[in-house]
Amino acid sequence: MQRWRVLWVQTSSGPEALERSVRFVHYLRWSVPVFLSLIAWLFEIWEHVFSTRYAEQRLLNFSAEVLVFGFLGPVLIFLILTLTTRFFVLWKQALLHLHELNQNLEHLVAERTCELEAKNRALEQANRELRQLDRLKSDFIALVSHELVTPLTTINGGLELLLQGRETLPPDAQQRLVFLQGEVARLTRLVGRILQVSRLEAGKLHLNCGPVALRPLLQRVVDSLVQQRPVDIVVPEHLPPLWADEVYLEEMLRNLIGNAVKYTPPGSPIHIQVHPRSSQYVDITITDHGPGIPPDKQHHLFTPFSQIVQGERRESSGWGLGLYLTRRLAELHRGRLWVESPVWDDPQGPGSRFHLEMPIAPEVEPEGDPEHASEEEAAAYAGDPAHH
Amino acid sequence: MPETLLIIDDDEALVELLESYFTGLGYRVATARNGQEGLERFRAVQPDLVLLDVTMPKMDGWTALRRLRDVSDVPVIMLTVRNEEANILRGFTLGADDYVTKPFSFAELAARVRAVLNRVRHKGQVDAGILQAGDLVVDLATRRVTRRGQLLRLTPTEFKLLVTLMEQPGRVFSPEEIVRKVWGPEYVDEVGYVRRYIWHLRKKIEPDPERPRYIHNQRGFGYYFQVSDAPDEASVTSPPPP
Repeated sequence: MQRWRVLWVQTSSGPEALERSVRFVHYLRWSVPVFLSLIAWLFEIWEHVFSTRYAEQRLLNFSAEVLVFGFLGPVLIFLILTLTTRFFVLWKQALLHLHELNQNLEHLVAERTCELEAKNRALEQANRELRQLDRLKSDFIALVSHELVTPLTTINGGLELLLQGRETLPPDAQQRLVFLQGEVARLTRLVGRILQVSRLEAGKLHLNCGPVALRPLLQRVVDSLVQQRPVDIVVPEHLPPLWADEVYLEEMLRNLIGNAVKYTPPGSPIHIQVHPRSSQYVDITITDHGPGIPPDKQHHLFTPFSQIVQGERRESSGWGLGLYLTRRLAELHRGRLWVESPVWDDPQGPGSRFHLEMPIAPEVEPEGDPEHASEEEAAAYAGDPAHH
Repeated sequence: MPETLLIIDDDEALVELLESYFTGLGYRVATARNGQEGLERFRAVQPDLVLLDVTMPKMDGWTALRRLRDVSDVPVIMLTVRNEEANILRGFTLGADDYVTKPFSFAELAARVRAVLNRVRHKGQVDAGILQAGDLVVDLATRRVTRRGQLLRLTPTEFKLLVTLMEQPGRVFSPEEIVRKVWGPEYVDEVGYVRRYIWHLRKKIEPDPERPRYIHNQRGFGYYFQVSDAPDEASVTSPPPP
């Protein structure tokens, strides 16, 4: 039924079709009552003039029936048809309007879909170009770093060779060579770090995770980085080992503690605190008494090659890679790194506190406890020569 | 008679410096600029050790290493800028003896050369730099652990723990002793580390960690290293053989 209706609306749609329909209905409105009136007149004439059935009061009957069937009846039919025509025209106009609205809507939808598709295509293209640029950047960094590595080996080797015979050199030449060796080592570290970042971004950096005892590792890092400065280390007793790549965790701690040392004035303390955040994570906080980090610049801290720059003046030396690398490594371990600053009320040294959240090593399956033996086992073992 | 080194690298400046450095240390040095020339020089000088760069024109280091291994067991140290694990594994699979990543210091390279030559010289004798037990081989110089030739990835502390146990096979170490040797005497109270480390170490080195073959638990006393062919059910209840 609906299908037929749609078909009808489609075939009889449009202003011309509506005009044709209205003309036809107008024609019917006049022609039908006139035709019926004519028939009625003819019938009454035949009935009352030529027929012998109603001989009495012929004129009266003829007049009454002609009035009813030849005049009032067609007028009533005319009125009904006029009203019907009016409704029909209104209905047809409404349908036409609806059809126009539908067409407009379809047109609008098609237009918007086209616009959206064009925008999507542009976005995809931009995305492809961005990915390509990113790949090119990574390839470029990797290539440049690789190309730097070989000359660095040569320069470093040449310096080593010269320093082998240092006794024959004047003291200032020796000093300059040692200085150059230090600079080459600095450049080597930079290239190594850039390569590490490019490997990380290319997804080629794979972790070798295992349990890591945090207290000895922290102490080792602090001993190698901090001299002549109080360091307050608080680690809870019986802290379970972390689950991390030991080499990279050490690097992360070196970056964070090294930064704290760099930014804290000589003699001011550094605080390192460890507390379990839950049964699965540990929060390592490193707090310094440095100049702090303004809130509007904190989000720049973790982007590569970013340094807090004020005008032409850089706030510190460095490459702006350490914190970026540390955060990416933390994320690779399913951990987190964030900063809060200021920490202290002191306007001269508001300080910063870095939080490194790292996972705890999974609990091991229960096994015979190597710390407790039964009496029989102790007795059996007492004569064992392998135990000293 | 001085030992002969063959340096194959396309970086002329580096080769010249290495030649000068190793000549100064008393070695005879031959050089080549690519893999193809390196193979020709190898046939001519018959070196005791080859230092082989990976990225070179004409013939790269991997191909040169394959060709070398077809004709000789000469020790080879790879020199490369790529320190990715896949490359290191590839080098060892093809038969390299060691791997040095650029930029390296000449002193470090010289130490590696000495270690590899020393190992070759004492082949067949007990090598002080190698711990071997069953299929498990620990190279103390390169800090490499392999089982049936497969490289195992241990963390530095896991390596130290394994070496501590392997150096005295059969001897039972208490958790306190292990902590003292691996982390230092100031951490003897932290014996809780040991159980977790041992458990994860077993997962890396044991063919079946549920039935350990190498590291055994002496309940109530500690842990010991011993290669056992039978599954480790007795180790929990009976002491190890002397």
